[in-house]
Amino acid sequence: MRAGQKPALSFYKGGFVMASPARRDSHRFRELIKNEAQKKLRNILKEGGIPIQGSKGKFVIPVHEIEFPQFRYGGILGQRGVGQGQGEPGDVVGNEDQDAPTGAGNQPGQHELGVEFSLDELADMLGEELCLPRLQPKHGGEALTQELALKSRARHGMPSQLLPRATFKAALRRSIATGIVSTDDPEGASKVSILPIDLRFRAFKNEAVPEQRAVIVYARDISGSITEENAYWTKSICFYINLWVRRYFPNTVLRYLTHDTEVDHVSEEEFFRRTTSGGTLFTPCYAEVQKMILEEYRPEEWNVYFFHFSDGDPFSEDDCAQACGIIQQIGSELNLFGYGQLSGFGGGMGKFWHYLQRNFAQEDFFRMSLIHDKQSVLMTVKRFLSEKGESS
Amino acid sequence: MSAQDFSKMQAGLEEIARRCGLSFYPIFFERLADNEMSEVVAYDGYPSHYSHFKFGAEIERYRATHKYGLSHVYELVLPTNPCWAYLSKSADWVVQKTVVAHVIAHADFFHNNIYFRHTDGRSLEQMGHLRTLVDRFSDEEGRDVVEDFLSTLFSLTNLIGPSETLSDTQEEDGLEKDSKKISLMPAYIRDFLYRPEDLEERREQQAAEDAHRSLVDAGLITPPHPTREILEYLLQYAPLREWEQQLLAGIIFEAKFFTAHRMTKIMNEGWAAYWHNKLMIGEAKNSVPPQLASGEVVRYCDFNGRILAPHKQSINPYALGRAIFERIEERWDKGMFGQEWEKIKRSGSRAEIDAFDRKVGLGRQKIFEVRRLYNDRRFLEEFFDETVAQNQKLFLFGENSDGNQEVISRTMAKIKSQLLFQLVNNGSPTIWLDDANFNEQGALFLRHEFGGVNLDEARLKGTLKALWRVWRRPVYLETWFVAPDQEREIDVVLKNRESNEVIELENPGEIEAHKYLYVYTGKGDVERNSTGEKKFFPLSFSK
Repeated sequence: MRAGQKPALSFYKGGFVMASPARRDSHRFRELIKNEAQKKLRNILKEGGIPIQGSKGKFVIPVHEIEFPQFRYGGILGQRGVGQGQGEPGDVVGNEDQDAPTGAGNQPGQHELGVEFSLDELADMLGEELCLPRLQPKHGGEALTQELALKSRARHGMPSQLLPRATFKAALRRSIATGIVSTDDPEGASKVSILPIDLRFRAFKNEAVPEQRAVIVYARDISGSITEENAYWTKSICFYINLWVRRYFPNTVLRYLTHDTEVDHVSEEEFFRRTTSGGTLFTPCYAEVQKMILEEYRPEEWNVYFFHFSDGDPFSEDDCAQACGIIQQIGSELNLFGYGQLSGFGGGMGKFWHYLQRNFAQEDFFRMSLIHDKQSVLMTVKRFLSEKGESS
Repeated sequence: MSAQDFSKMQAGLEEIARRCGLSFYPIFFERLADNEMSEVVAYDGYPSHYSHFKFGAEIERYRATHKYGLSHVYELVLPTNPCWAYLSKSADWVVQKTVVAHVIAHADFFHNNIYFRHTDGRSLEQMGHLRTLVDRFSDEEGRDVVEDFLSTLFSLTNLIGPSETLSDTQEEDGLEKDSKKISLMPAYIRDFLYRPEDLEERREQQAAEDAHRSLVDAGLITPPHPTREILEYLLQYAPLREWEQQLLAGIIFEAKFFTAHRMTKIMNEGWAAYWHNKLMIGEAKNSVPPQLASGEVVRYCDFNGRILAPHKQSINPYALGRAIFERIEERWDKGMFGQEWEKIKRSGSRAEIDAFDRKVGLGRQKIFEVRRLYNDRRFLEEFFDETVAQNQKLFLFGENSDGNQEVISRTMAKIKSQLLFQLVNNGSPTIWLDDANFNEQGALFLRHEFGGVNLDEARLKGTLKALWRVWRRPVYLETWFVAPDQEREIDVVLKNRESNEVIELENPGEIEAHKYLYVYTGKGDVERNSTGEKKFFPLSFSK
């Protein structure tokens, strides 16, 4: 081969990625570790936490590396090594670069590898681990998106998109119209000749596709003081609910409400932090949700999920009754209404809990859960998102 | 920067490199984005590599470490003709320039080092062949079956024996050849050369050898002599189906092929680090012009500094390799070798040693010779000295009684021993196949050549299972174990092969080791049996 001449290999820009089995192997590896990752996710859930954030909206779950055992040195001597830097004999060697290979080997299974999972993969694992049912859209979506589909026909196009049957029909129609072929002639079909003007191709067309949209409204009673733990658990629960709802409704809007005696729209960050002291009323909050459903998120267009977390209790029986009245009205419009009771100072369930139980326990749209320790994160996610009666 | 700029820069560097004496095949650069780089690294740079989920895991590992800034692979060079090199596109101009110089030196190393001779620069095609096999068998036998078998073989890739370039001619033929020669000699010469008792001894040896040979020929002893080429033996005699045999042959090829890389890592990286520095900053005395514009020096120093930065718990092959090459150059420039030097070194004062300079100027010539003929082990054995150990601030570390890693010693001899220990047999234990018909039951009997360092037990068990999967008969392994409390007392000591000089120990003594026999019969778990035998090993082991 002469110098300077490019060899005739399929090695062009991006050629490596196309030629290498990387995608397949990556996929297979993920398939193999999926079970373990799923179990790890369950453990994280059990602790009431959420996975570590990775790059670009992905989340990291550490799994054991798959090892191919070989005869290797072990023990204390086998793990000695040579390092570089300061230090007198007896000084402990800093281990900031623990991942660097040391000596001849380490114990098998000791190493963990942080594997990144996308939100969809995570949602699938969550669904499988908690046996969650698919979310069904409550109403046929009416919002339209334009999607490019190969559903039209044209007289010009790529040879691969030629429609033989349509082409022949066109030719036949033309032949009959121009009198070349008689409709009475049994041999007529063989006399049809296809001209360029008869050719029919598949073509692109902008097609309107119904789109499913969802809104999740989170409301929190901020009248009591919220402990750091409670905030953390609520945050975790919201994370998993978002994860699951987004899996089925890619266009999901999140709204956050806080209320004491009055109701406020707040940012996600504020939602978990805000506290006031004093009394609380539930009715304004439910009325606000009702208003939002009527004005902004009409149920014909939106799938509405509403979750309410409270560590307090309404001021009066009246308030409870009124709030329940509103739920009665909007219940059929909601895909789901979940009520999470955070155990406050008093502990136990309040009046409202009993009201809800009495009125809605049998309703299909209604779920309730008590959040009092880290295990309840998993239970709450499961209760909120499972079929009615499946887990209680 | 445009493609033209890059080609121009590459051509300029190549021309100067050739003027400096480097020689290499034409180099083609493939500039890749970071995510593509992770895939390239996982497959050692071979786009024609076969498929296995192991490499999927490698991709994830690279991504994970890369993300946290722990490792950034700037380049990867294939020992092919022409030479393919990958370059990280995200790096800036100065870094790319430095990396191109670095790659040129790698290309020179692959082209000239004796341990890469066997690849013939055709490794792309050879890897492609293996991939074709894997794909075909996956279609014919099922992807899962092939994947599973490959996973088994990955456990055995270090059972390939010493590199061919290293191994001597077949020893067993020596005796026979000698006897033949002696029998052809006229009697007076024979009597002049050999004493009668010597001849008698030889005759006995020959008789024993003949008896052994007849047993071998009768198929009663196999392998004829203990062998370390265990995979080769399995390839020949294990009850494998044809596709399994072909894959095993492929994996043996691959394992041997990459052995050359592992055997020369320190030298190869050191050589590249040495030359990218020389090319970048230039060399007045050999009229090598600097390749850096005045504004680029700071950026270059920053980058070079990061390449050579010390690792706390491992050696940095770039820094160590370069330091040794520079030391060799210095020594051969000043004539610090030969009798005169040895005398001064042994008995001269500090000042005398420092002032020693015969002005022979053979440094450049010597390092080119070393890069052609040496591998890491011999490189360190011969040229690693006190000066290098001190300049590089090297220390030996290990686990203390609290379970922490602590600095054990800064003694050159101990550091050198540890480094050599990690390089002998590429850091793998030496395993012999003594008998493939153990107990007359067709069982494999393996023996670990114990040198004071215990085997990792969990891994050992896994490996025995993998061996059973291939051999389909019981598999035995004999090894020794030193109790953990004694382990801390030991120093791994390696004898210098050339000078036979044993590194002196502070407290020579003995350690007690116990012999164990592991067996896997295909059912249940691996059994571990103590043979009750114990032995005191002297506190110095030669390898």
